[in-house]
Amino acid sequence: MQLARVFLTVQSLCNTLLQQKASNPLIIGNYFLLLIITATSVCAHGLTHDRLQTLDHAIAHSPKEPALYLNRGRIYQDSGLWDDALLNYAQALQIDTDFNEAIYWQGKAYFQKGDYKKAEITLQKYLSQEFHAPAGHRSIAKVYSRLGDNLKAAEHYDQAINNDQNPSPQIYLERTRTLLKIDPIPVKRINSGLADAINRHGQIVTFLDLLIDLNIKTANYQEAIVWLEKLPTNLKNTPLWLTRKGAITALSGHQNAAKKLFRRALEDIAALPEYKQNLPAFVSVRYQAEQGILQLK
Amino acid sequence: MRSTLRVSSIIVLLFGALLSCHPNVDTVTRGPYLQTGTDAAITVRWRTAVKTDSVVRYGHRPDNLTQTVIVHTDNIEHEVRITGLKPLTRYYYSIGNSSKTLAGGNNSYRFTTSPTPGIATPTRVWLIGDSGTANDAAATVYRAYLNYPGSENTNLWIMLGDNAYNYGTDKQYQSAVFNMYPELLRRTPLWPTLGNHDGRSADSDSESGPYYNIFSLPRNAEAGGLASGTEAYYSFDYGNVHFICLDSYETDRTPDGAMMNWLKNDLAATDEKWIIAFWHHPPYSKGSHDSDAEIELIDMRQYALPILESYGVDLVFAGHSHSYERSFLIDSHYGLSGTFNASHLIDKGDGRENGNGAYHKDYHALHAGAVYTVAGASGKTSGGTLDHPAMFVSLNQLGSVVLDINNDRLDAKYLGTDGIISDYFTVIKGQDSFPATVLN
Repeated sequence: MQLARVFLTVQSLCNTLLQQKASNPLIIGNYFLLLIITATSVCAHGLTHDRLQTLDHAIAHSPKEPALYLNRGRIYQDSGLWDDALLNYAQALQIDTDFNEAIYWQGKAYFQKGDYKKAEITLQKYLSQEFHAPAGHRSIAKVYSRLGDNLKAAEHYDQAINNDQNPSPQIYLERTRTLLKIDPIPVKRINSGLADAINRHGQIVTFLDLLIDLNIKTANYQEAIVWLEKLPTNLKNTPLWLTRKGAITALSGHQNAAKKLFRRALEDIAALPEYKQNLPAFVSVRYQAEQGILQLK
Repeated sequence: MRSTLRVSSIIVLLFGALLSCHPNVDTVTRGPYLQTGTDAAITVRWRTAVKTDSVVRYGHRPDNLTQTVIVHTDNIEHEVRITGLKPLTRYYYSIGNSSKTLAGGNNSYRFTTSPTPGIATPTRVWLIGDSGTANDAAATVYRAYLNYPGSENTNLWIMLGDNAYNYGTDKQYQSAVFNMYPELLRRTPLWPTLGNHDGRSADSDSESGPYYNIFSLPRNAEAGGLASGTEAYYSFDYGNVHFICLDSYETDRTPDGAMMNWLKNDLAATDEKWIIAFWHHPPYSKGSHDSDAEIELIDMRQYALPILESYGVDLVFAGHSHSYERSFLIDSHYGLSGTFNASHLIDKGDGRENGNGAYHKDYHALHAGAVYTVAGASGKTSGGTLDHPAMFVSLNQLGSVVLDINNDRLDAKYLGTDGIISDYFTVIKGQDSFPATVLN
């Protein structure tokens, strides 16, 4: 509300200026510039309603400014109102057909709406102008993943990673999960991708988890345990880790060893301070370990 | 004659102007400020007007800085990691280059290392949110804290995002952070999280932009916890408290994303008694932002809270709404505000020893509850309906949060600009009981 008031104050001040110097084009230009700047700066502030109201005012005064429609679209998109967002992006693009940022957000809105075909077409259009944009490649990779074309998705993830100076753990994770859906699983490609990820970010739990999953999926249980052993020291030998190791050991056919691990997990949970033993996470691990023992019997 | 005089005057003036524009070699233009403090190491950062090498001298007395760390590369951004320190020990320091000391060597340039992880130690934490206005409001909040007892020995300082308005640029950080809090910056390690305004000029995916350039945060478990591989989200230990910082804006917030996967494992790995989490977008708020309407707030409530609560998180802090909103001791509420009911209330009292009593986290309970606080009024207030049913108190009032943790007891206060405490509560955890016997 306060921001809306600030905006209205600025607007009123400008109105006064306009009345006084209506014929001065410099002042009129500055007035609209001020409106746009104010609208842009408040678009991440305050309640959605207030932010929209501010932009509505700005658009009423400056209906040919595509950035204002983009900002309004972003607010709708943040609120999950995909159709309203798309309408605003379309308006922005009507004014400026080459407004790439609007094309990008339009593609994302189609994706969030579940209209994957339109998302694909829109993001392809974006990438035809921003060929190396990692965010564009990542977004279209998600679209292909939803469309079931995991090979194409993986290719775009490759481009997103290759064009990014410092790709995040999340992008590596998304690419690996996509590759895991391909039949037969491209083990070499996954291993090499995760080696690159580890080289960049270190042996973080996210990558090690993926390597463990990969080896379980390909029934390579010994290798899965090798990666499990590489998890950080403070995670190793926790009840969660022991239960996980027990489950993999059971899959590999070593029933007695698996039982021992499940029992150790139960003992360790029992040795925790009481306030921890009763936490839902540990109750869940205890249940998994108990179930593991029962299944082996 | 007159024209000669005029010409020489112009030359003198130009020369003077040139001299005044030329950056002074001996000028520190930013900091020093402290980052990623642990029981054995700390990072000292500062900026100079021109490139020089970096030297930190330190010791146990301000007039006797016997140890030196030198980084020989010339730079204007100086980043020196001091290692081999003793736990819970006060050190004094100065910064400079190999030819001279530029600042420090007195009582105000000091730091105290963290205690040995796991060891309960009286701990003072100062939290501010949405403080980046660089105006009188932010300055008044800061002054109120400096005048508050114990501020001299602040162990940790947490910034809840939107640290520099309006775009989180380097220049805005200079005004809103470095020019605003010089005393505290030089003596207390600062742990920030990314707000949406910081995110306008920074990118968490590539860890680039002013926010990531300015802060040196743990990505490889340098300060405890589990390595996240990114500075966008991280954890650290201080004594028997485990702190978790999440990125609620730019990083994937889905339950099977890298951040939430790391969070689960980080929580599974910690042995610390207290767990305090912080990020920018509040899971519960009816301030200037509505947690029923905005995607970041909804996501954090739906995806981060179940994980945190399953591992017994004690406190969660956020900003974004420019207000102070503090919950009851609650649990398992992941829906819209209209669905909040008595079943989510673990303790419906005020949490005050001189009121309904402190919140006791029952160690027999499956769901012991947590207190959620929005503390986004450290730079401005912006109102809102302020009527979220999870909240015990909601105030449209400037201020900051002061936390004092001492073994099994945690006291939180909301400190107004007038120095008056507008809200307070206490959380108490029982002593560990003997472990139960397990029959194989």
